[in-house]
Amino acid sequence: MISRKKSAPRRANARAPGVPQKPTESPNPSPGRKLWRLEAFDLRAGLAFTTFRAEGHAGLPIDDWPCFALAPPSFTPEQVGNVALALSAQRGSFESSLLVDGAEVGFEQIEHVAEFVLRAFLGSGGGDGADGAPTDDEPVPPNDPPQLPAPDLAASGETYLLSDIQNFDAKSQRLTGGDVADYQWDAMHAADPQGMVARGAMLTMHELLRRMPSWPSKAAVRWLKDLRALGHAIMATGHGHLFLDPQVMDMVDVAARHMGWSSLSALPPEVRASALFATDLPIDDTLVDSFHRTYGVPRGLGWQPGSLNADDPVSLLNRLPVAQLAKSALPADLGERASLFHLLSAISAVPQTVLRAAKATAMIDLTVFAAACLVSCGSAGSRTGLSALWPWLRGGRSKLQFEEAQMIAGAALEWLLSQFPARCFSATLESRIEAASNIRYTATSRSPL
Amino acid sequence: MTQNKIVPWSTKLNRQLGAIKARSKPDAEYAQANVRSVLRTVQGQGPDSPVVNEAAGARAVVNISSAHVPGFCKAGQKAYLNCYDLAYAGKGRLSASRLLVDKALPLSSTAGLTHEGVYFAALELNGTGIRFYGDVCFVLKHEVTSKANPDILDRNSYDVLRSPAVDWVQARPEAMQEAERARILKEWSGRWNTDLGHVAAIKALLSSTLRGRRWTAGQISELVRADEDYVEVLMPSSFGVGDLQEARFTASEAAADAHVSRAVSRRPLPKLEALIWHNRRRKADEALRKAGVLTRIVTTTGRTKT
Repeated sequence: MISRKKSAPRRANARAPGVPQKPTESPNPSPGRKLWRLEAFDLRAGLAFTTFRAEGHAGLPIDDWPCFALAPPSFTPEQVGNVALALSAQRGSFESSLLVDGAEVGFEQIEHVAEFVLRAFLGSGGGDGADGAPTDDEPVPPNDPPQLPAPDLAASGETYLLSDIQNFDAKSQRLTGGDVADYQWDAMHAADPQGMVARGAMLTMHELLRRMPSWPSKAAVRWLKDLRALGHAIMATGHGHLFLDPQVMDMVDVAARHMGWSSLSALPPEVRASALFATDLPIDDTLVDSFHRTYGVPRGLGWQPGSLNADDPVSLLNRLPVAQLAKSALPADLGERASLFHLLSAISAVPQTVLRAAKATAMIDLTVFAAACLVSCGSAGSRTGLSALWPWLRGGRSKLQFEEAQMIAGAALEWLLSQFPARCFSATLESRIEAASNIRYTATSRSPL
Repeated sequence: MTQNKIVPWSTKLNRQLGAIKARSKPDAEYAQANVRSVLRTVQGQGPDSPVVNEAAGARAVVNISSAHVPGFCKAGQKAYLNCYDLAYAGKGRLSASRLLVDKALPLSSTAGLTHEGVYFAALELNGTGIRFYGDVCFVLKHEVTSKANPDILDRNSYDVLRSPAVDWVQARPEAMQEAERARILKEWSGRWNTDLGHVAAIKALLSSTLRGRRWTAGQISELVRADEDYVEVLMPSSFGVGDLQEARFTASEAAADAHVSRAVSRRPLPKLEALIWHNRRRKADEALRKAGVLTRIVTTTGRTKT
């Protein structure tokens, strides 16, 4: 049963000692009014200095400006005694002066500054990896992808959360300058979080299956490991029954034929997907022999997900490719590196990003699935091998398993909503937050380097 | 307060010692001994030992966010970027105060050097730099800095905009204020190869409340870079991963990082910002180690204990 309580949105950034509680002046948009300004900020790093002063730097000397630093992961304001420290930051990776239409933005409260920086930090995760060297923590690129049957999600889609996001966006559109408005997310009333997780899982399976490399190859080993990491994650969310879904079975059939993996095609249809996603089977053509000889107790060199970074669940999301339908919401230079992690970061920071997508509800499904992968990480234990699939192979999932999946999906949605913004800014500032995903540590073409 | 003549740092140090001697001869004797320790420590020797440890001594350091480290490692030789290089910071977003100070910087290390080509670093002994600027502290190789022989300032150059220096500037006619800022910054400046030890020793003498006791290596480190009070180093060129001696992480942030790591397997799940921060720090560490850079956690600024 899903809790009907409203989610507790993020309320980080407890007021630090020494922070003025309220501006002493009455509300007045004039440039001379003292407000919290971003003196120096590196939004991708989540680092910022904020000072309480009037607009612009004309009012030297600078001694009387209260100055606080913000940094991840807490983003709790920390007083620094020397404003010069903030000004010096501008010589490195920090920007200076947050401007909107040529005017410097001022925030009423320091918590609003912290919220802005925190959200931009989250959003910047949507571009991680684009300026770094390729790593193992990114999706396997597609290679001669097979034309897999796409999951049919036409009749599905959760609209309650979508409506909530639309309300958030509408509220933002009514704000100007540094105005801020609280927002209470109400979408825990969403009727079917389990369906959202399931659809997100289906879309992700489809995307990963279509990236099947030539076989055998080093890329194939890596791909199969990722596939089984996905299988592990799906099992952990309580959605192992998806391996028996006819749509998944069809996708696996096409994929198996495409790669010419005859041993997989030779397996009974009802166990084919399970065998591919199970984590304890060999990863080569001995699969059939092994499977038939030791049915249920497979032997050989199966790969266990313990080799994943169990202490870093983001690593798993980094390796799971985001479905093509969601790529438009992410920076173009990510290309095929775009992952569920990128999507989760981007949507957590700026939920209204989904509104510009052709399939908004599918993007929400993917995001909730990503959240489910995180909240269930470490909970599957060793139950992700074929033996764990066994009950489903024999008789479908039980009512208790259904309830477990429902609990996990509800927890995922609740966690996701707790990540969503506690406040909305004006549309212009919301755009600045969204743009943080495009910040790269690269030199401008004008640079003398 | 204005002075027309730039006093050498060695003279300034002798004056400091003389002032202490005028108050107390025993204090002066300890101060003299402690100054020798500072000069040795800066050179990479132990406080009481002439043996030079190649990995020790004063270094120019910069702090950078772990978010940027993979990009830095990928970029090659001149990967470290200042505000004029960065595409997203850009020349169009320079603050007025930054330009005021940048134009007054004493840049004598390289012919033709302008403020746009300066890369700001800090003097560090065994610590982790200025944490507000990033959670990863890049330590430049000794030979990189000594070859560049950069200008140094005994304090943050932006202090020229703060009292009392700003009062000295504003006491001048407006047309002369830029020259006055430049004069003040020149007075605060020296060169890495010739003045570093004296600058560090004076800073330590002025900062320490310890009288009649010898300083340890850790205490010297803390005095030379006390929290956010640092000696500024104006590197005349960018640098890359091959110019790094090592990268340092603070023990406190490593502990926070480990806490996130442990919390992942418990409930409630940490917030996404903590997971992103944790993931980026891991990737930064991996990128640096792949590039052959030593990474280490500094648990104490006493060099032998890090």
